[in-house]
Amino acid sequence: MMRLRIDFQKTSPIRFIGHLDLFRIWERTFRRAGIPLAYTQGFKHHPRINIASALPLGFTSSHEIMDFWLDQILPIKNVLEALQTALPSGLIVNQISPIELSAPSLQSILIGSEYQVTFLEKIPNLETIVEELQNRATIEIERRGKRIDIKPYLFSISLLPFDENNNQQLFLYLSSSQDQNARPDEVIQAIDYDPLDALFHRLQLVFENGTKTSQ
Amino acid sequence: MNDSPVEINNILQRILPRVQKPARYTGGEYNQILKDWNNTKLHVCLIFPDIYDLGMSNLGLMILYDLINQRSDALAERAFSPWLDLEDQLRKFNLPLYALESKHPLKAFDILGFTLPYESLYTNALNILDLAQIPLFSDQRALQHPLIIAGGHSTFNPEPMHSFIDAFVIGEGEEVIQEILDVYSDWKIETLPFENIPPSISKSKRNELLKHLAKLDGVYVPKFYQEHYNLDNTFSRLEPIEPGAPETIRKRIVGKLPPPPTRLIVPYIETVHDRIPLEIMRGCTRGCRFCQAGMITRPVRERGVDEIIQSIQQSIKNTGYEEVGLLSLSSSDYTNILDLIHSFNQHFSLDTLSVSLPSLRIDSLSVELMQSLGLARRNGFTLAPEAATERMRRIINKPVTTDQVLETADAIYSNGWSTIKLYFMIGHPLETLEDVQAIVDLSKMVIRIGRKHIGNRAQVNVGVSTFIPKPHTPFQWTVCDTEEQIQIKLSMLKDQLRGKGIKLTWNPPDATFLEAWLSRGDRRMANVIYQAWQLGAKFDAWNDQRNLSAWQQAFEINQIEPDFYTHRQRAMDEAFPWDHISIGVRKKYLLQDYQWSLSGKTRQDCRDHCFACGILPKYNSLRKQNPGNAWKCPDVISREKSNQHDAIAN
Repeated sequence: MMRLRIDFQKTSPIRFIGHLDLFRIWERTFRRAGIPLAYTQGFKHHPRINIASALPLGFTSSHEIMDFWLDQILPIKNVLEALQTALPSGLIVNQISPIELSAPSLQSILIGSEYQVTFLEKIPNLETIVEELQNRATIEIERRGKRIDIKPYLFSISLLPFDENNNQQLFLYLSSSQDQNARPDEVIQAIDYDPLDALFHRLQLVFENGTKTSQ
Repeated sequence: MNDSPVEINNILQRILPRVQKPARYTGGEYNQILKDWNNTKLHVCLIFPDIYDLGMSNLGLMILYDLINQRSDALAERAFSPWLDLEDQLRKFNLPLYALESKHPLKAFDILGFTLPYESLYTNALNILDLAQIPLFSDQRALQHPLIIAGGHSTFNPEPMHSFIDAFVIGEGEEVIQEILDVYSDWKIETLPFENIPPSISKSKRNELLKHLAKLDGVYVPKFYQEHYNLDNTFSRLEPIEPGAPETIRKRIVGKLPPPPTRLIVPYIETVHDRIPLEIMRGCTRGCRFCQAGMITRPVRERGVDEIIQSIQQSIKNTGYEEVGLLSLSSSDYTNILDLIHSFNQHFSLDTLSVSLPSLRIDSLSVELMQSLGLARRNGFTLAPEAATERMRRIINKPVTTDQVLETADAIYSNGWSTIKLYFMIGHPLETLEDVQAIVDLSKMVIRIGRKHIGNRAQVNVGVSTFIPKPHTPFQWTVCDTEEQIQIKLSMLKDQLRGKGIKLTWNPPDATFLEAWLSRGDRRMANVIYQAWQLGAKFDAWNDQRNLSAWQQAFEINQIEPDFYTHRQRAMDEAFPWDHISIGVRKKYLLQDYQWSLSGKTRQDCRDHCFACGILPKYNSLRKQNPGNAWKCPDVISREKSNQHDAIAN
């Protein structure tokens, strides 16, 4: 048995693919590549794939992290080469590295996510709005019918330079741990901006001990 | 104008976040073929007029996509119906419907090919033309518009759609699509550049193309024919009005099934049949009298076991799929079915590749087959007796005994399955309420067998559809049940097939009638379809979308009585609006079969005994080019002997 950690990009061509579909896409990519994934035991066999954090539909990302298990030990170089030939357009592998079988699950060590938000419609006084948001005691949003305060999960917010189309951009660092988390579109909603008019890009995931995926 | 791929894509990026399942509309899937538009001469867009999730499981579309893209001078892309939410957005932004691969608008293509496997797609086809900003009526289109062609099972009666489609392809498309592209290519070279053609002769130039197409075997150009009716409004005849337009259009078939496509597009999102489709056999020799597919897909042609296994191996490598569907109209009738299953088990591990084997016969062999394939027992085991009394099954020529049904049910439950799905039809010719009651009784007998083996875990799911007398079948002379009859029969079933372990599902009568009108209609139906679409009818195959009142209104506007098509027994010598379409099976043979049915006389499987349906003499040369076992018809016999057979059959 071998456990590997893959760092990949989800780019614009496949940004409209949801988490469950992405899972199946990976499964089929491995099968095309001829890489024998280990399967879970039980009534219905599932390949052992573990994605650190579900990326919402519509989002792109520079660094998504996923662990997978193989039944046999293979040279990493061969795994990488085989995968490269089988990837669908829009999925890009940054890196594959071996992980101890006993290492803790990705979800259990995930702390937060850094995002870049691009506004496709102009927001007057964005600077003031960001400042006001930082100073608010609570940021109440509605999630699945419940009011919750996401202020504690907003670790950091700041303006970014304009993009190449002169769109305003924001940097957000949000909590992504299992029970305490916020999504960037929730933050955007809190400033009365329609998230459908924004592009969301995950820059990186932050794990315990301050490990960032881009490092 | 929002007509360039770049502009279309830019607007899409803004509207796709606002619709459900946006990945339906992005293309880019693994194995998609995107060719260089400007360096490719012929641009074809293949269209399934319902949503992506359904259309991507259409095998015909995939076969043609593969074949056209193999040509160096042509490209094929795909388009599907947008769901209501995207349609609203497209109309709001005046964005023309586009093809998934290159995002070119459909109106920029040379040829649009619709696949119409069933009739309830017709209004969607109109809606797609409208969304593509292309005139709906064939006679309103000129040189700058794409050629609109259509094929698929429902086009074996093309007449209801004759106003909208420039040319129909009758039968199997694998070879004739190449001929159509060749003809189009020659015509295009001759006619280019289109911009230099004065508008006054634009339509006549387009007519030239249609004249060339009408000469192709299996291609029907409706505008070259004039229909005639009798004083009582019944159909009289269709008259060719263009020199060279044939009196009858004989369906195309391939002598040998070409290699199946193995580089299948792998959808990003789940589709209805999310698996490798592998056609093991085409056609069916059983001769069930209600079954249009069984009549129009004759003769039976099989693929060899080795070819099937190799194609599956290749497909898994190319796609990464975890499931394969072994497709045919009657899996148990595949000659080497045991060899196939044996070889399948040798080559594949069922832990990582699951398989589905639909359309199994009602016998213990089917249970053994399913077992040796380790088929997922949780999915249940499907049996389709179609009728519940032996009398009725003789009438429809599905001569299975009730004992066979019960014995098979016994084998299924005792081998670990807990659910049996039973499929029946109501409304068969000569059906009485006793025959309907027998559906209840038989279903209850089956559940009792289940309880004997596994107690209360036993489940029977009864699916009931309503018979439609389809064109080109022995039952084309007969009638549909009236709504009242259907309701009486359905309520008998609903009242009694309930309670623990029994689930009943049925087709709503409005779906039945719509399909019946559209499948049996003549040219006068075209305006009804158009009106219904204008009144908002679309997605007619969807129970929650069908708008029957739009259809009723459309009939009224056109002063057509829908019952004329569905509730009128046809005289034995009545001409049908689809008589100019030849399926290779003689009308006399179908009539004889109808008469046999009325006297309860069955016709055995024609693999064992040729009944001279007409296929062999009509496709004599094709059969000679493909001798041996691939065809399941006996070898061609001399005319003299064939006449003797006729005499025996008569």
